[in-house]
Amino acid sequence: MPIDYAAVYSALYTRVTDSDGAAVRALLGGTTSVFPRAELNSLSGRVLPYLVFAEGGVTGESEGMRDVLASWWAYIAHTGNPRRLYQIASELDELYGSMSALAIAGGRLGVTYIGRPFYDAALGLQGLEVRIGYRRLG
Amino acid sequence: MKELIAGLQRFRAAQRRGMVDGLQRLCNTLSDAMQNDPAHGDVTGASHANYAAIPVGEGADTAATVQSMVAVVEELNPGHSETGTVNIPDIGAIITSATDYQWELETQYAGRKAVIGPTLQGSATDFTRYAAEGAKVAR
Repeated sequence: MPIDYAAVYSALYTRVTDSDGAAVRALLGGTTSVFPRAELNSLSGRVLPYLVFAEGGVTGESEGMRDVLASWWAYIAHTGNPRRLYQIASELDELYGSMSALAIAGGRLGVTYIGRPFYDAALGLQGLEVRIGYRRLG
Repeated sequence: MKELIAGLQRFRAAQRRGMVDGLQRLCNTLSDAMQNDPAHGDVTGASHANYAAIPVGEGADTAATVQSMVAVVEELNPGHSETGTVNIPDIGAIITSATDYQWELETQYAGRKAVIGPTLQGSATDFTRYAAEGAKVAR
């Protein structure tokens, strides 16, 4: 059965916005603090810390080896304690790690990389990237 | 017995050269893709001009390529070249740029302008495959 990539991306995103993501959201600024990267241009009303979702493409030669990649970019004020970024990363790790292995389209999810805090001069904020991946099994 | 061992050694050496050749084929494709990646625009053209994927091992190293990358940056955007060191003890490849602002491109606006990161993520499994195919061809 072909992979429904849109559904995978949606599942990756809603994992944070649905009830299971409450622990992650508790570390964020408010109800508008989770949004896709396309909305980075309109930050009015967004309360820090926030999480920005970026689709990262699909890789792998065959469906059995295919990875769907995405990233969450966590942001806090440039004067904030980077510890908060790591707390968010840990909660994301827990959230995706606890997802039922076969919950979406016969694959499994996980955090594959947690970056280090950096200063985003364009946004004037501190950020940290958490990469997540979905791998089709079989 | 001596001939058998010598034959096996030649076979292994050919395989290893084939792996690097395989990586070179992939690196050529990746370099071209990065140099034409539309994730960010150009002010000076230095970034796009010097993105490179470079195979390493069996005599192949990055020195000449990096030297020319630095020259390109210094020509197009003087004072903004930067290089680092990475140790690859055996066969491998690096994906890199010689500008001193690449990190910013990779991270600003939640990675919207990133080129190297997505290329690396997207090609991670290809490196093994191309190396293996190169080794097969060499037999």
